Amino acid sequence: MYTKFQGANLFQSYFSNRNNVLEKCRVNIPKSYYPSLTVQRAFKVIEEFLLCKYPEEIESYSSIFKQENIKDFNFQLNDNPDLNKIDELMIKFSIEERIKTSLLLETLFASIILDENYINNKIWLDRLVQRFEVTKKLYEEYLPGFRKGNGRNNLIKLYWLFAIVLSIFYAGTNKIKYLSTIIKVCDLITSLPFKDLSRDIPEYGLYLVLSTETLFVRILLKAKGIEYDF
Amino acid sequence: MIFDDIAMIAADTSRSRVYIQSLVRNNLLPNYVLVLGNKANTTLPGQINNSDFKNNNDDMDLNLESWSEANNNLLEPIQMTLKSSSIEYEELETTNIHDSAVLKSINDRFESTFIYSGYGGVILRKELFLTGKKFLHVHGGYLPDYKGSTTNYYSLINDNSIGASSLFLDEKIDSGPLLLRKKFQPPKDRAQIDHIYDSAARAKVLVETLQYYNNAGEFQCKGDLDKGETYYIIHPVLKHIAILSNN
Repeated sequence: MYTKFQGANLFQSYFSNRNNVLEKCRVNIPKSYYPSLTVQRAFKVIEEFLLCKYPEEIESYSSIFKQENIKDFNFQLNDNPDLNKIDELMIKFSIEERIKTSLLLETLFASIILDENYINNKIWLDRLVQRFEVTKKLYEEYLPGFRKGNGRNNLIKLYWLFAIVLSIFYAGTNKIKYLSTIIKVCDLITSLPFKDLSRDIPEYGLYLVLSTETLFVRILLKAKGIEYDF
Repeated sequence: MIFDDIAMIAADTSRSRVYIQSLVRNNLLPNYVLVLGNKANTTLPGQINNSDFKNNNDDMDLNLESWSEANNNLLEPIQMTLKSSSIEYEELETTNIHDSAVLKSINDRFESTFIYSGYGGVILRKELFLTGKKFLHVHGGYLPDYKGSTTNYYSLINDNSIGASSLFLDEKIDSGPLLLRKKFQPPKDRAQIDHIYDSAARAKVLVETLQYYNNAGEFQCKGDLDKGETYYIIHPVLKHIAILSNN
């Protein structure tokens, strides 16, 4: 609460940090690579939300990926038969049981794509947000009660997937508390060595998360009448 | 007037200073104050670093009725205000509300209600409630919409307002029962929210809660706060957006 007020300089530091990592992504991703399916789906869904709410930002968002890399984006999300079973999978998660975080996040990812307003999505996302906000960590699994974490808490891919899920949810709901958590997760991710990020996050995945996060912040700055030129 | 049945727990924070100065100004005095002193050299959440802080009582917002509790001397130690107002107080050299000496002091008192203004970031535990006392807290946010931490920065972004709500504490976070809640227009100088305006909004609600109590002879609860959204400490980027925003 008592972060000292630094004025607009704070925004400059924030964007500078993110731009440095984004530049490393641009340099390091081989041009022949295509975004993974998860990245493509996330990109497409967020793009649809932005088109509805902030059509003026679409050009900037869509330029995240080069045209030659988006040929796989032209698919119908709801045609995927796996997604039709997502509801059943979400209902199977119980707070009384041990929960594997990667499975929960992957299911949440698919479920939020289908319907960001589905109440079970918010319930489980809020539980993850609570755990992350209190401990600043995500554990490999959570014991019954969903309080105590177990196993590794340094799985980069979990934090990345959490950021993706939060980004889709925020794009759909505009609830600022999730943007706050997104920025904290991205702070954590960008504090790690780039070689570790490249190793553990799917192609273009980091690029998508950071580009989306910074776009969300730019949209909010604009909406609140704060001028910036960085 | 002195409330025979009301005491106060006061950490040595800007908020406690604002509370006590407001209560004195409005002649709504607690019978006893338990001061939790921080003798360490580190500044705890809610404490002012005296060398960094200057009172700015020229702010135009101080003329507004809604900010009637914002004009305080935040550099004046609590003990000085208590002494000059002849309020009985005891000081314990601990910042831990659950310290056995604190629990004993609370247990030994006859007042049934304690205004709670402890150090930030602490969730009250069962042993405190086992004292049988009621703990009157003023949350910095409009309940139940804004539960949790730094909620006034979230509400500034969402609807350009800040809030404060009085409630009796239980073992859950900001779950009630609710006594009184108010919304406030943001001050012009939003960079002063942490130490001045958040505390002033809470103090205003505290004063009005005690005025209602004085008039009615009892605290009138307005239901539990089961619903609502819980927020966590806002990221500095968003806090700066809330401060620099003009809408």
